[in-house]
Amino acid sequence: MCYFVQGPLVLIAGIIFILGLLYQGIQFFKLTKKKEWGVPPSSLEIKPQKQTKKQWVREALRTLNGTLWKTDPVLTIVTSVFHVCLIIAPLFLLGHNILLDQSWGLSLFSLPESVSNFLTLLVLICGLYFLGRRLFMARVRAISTVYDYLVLLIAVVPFLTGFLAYQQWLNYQTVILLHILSGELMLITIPFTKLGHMLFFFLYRFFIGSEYSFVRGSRTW
Amino acid sequence: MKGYQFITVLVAVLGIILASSLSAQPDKIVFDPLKLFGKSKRPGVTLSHNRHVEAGLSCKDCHHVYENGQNVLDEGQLEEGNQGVRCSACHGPKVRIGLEQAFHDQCIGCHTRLLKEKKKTGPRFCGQCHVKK
Ligand code: HEC
Ligand code: HEC
Ligand code: HEC
Ligand code: HEC
Ligand code: HEM
Ligand code: HEM
Repeated sequence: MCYFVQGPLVLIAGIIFILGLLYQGIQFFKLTKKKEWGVPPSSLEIKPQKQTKKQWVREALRTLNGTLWKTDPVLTIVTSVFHVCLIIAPLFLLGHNILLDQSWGLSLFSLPESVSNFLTLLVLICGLYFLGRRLFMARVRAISTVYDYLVLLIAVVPFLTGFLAYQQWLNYQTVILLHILSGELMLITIPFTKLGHMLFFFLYRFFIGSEYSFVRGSRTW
Repeated sequence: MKGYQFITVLVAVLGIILASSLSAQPDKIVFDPLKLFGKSKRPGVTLSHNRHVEAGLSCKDCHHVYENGQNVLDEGQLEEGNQGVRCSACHGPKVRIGLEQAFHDQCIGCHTRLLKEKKKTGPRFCGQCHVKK
């Protein structure tokens, strides 16, 4: 049991994570391939005008005012910090990289452990903020389902157990086993839950966006 | 009578050899990362020689002097206080395999290999070796 969790299951989780994302990506393009309408003639296109640098900055600031930054600056900061730390902390973690090096002979550059530990703490604090929002803000609570809490939990538990393991609080053997299990659970669930937004965010935001501007709608949404 | 004396001497000699070979390696080595690396990011590791020798490992599984890719270590050299035994004698900052990597590759490497072979093995996760006191 312990062997399976720390050996083969790590590999299985990694493969499901990568193949799952690939599958979802391929599905995304397959399901939208059919052309629904003819491509409008380019004479109808609105050509963007050349901007000076100053205009560009002003335009960018104006756009920013229409985003979450204006309506909820705290959430913007929290979610930015959350996501940056969430990606950086495990990727450049000495503990992960030594193990990766031992198992597969590859490893990334590692941050000092005190820095990783701090980034982990930031993820936990931001996670707590998300939880608090869902629990105590009526308008967020109204649209929260068990699924939302579950996904938040799946995303945060590897950081909680990783933090406990680094501090060697509680029983290390148990904590590290839970950490590995929760890490594997997260990798496996990313492609099939809304955590898949790590892929779809970019598809929605930039690909679909460009469909309506540069390539002029060649797919069915 | 002669035979009796002979056996006593034999036992005594054997005893001395056995005792000396057992005392050639200290049982517990408590590493001091500050002395080894000049830094201490993690608590020092405790290595139990006896646990490893009792698990059936030979001295040459860990101690080596390489010549043409062969381990030509003379086990008689393995004596307490011999600075040449220390990993740091050869694995320094200028070598391909630095000191920290030498330790991790040897310790975690063997534990991982034995785990894959489903044999009795040692720990692989940081906090199991770098135990906070
Ligand atoms: C699991 C690997 C392992 C095995 C097996 C092993 N050793 Fe060691 N031994 C070490 C390590 C690691 C050190 C620490 C080296 C250092 O301080 O740089 C060490 C240190 C020593 C030292 C120096 C101690 C000191 O403080 O001066 C002696 C002597 C020694 N070993 C003898 C032996 C003998 C004899 C055997 C076989 C019966 C043996 N070892 C088997 C890993 C091992
Ligand atoms: C007498 C010098 C010397 C001492 C002492 C020494 N090594 Fe080495 N070690 C070498 C050489 C030479 C190599 C081969 C390096 C290469 O291939 O580039 C090597 C290679 C290694 C390797 C790579 C795998 C292998 O075995 O070929 C590891 C791991 C290693 N040493 C760990 C240790 C540890 C741990 C100690 C202390 C117990 C130690 N070494 C003591 C000289 C030494
Ligand atoms: C050649 C294989 C091998 C190498 C090299 C090796 N080990 Fe082990 N280790 C084992 C085996 C086998 C066991 C299981 C022994 C047992 O449980 O009786 C073990 C067990 C352990 C344990 C748990 C036993 C205990 O005292 O609780 C620790 C800690 C440990 N090793 C540390 C180290 C360190 C530190 C090094 C590097 C200096 C090292 N090992 C190098 C094979 C190895
Ligand atoms: C099998 C035992 C073992 C495991 C597992 C292990 N180490 Fe080590 N590590 C050692 C030994 C032995 C040394 C050298 C002696 C010392 O520093 O205590 C060392 C040294 C270090 C050092 C340099 C000394 C210092 O304190 O700055 C760092 C950093 C380190 N290890 C980090 C890690 C991390 C992170 C992990 C988790 C992936 C890890 N180790 C897992 C045995 C181990
Ligand atoms: C799937 C297999 C995984 C394994 C085998 C694994 C293993 C480890 C190990 C050994 C440590 C070091 C513990 C210590 O210092 O004693 C660690 C820490 C950590 N892990 Fe993982 N991990 C896995 C997955 C993940 C995932 C998916 C994430 C998050 C995305 C994650 C996030 C972290 C963090 C943030 C820490 C460090 C906490 C800190 O330093 O404060 N891990 N992990
Ligand atoms: C890689 C690029 C990623 C991008 C661009 C991205 C983007 C976003 C955006 C735009 C939101 C909505 C804003 C908000 O609720 O604050 C969000 C929320 C969230 N993201 Fe990501 N994300 C990424 C990766 C990830 C990953 C890898 C995970 C964890 C596995 C994750 C976990 C979460 C969680 C849990 C929330 C919801 C928080 C809550 O309100 O409960 N994200 N993300």
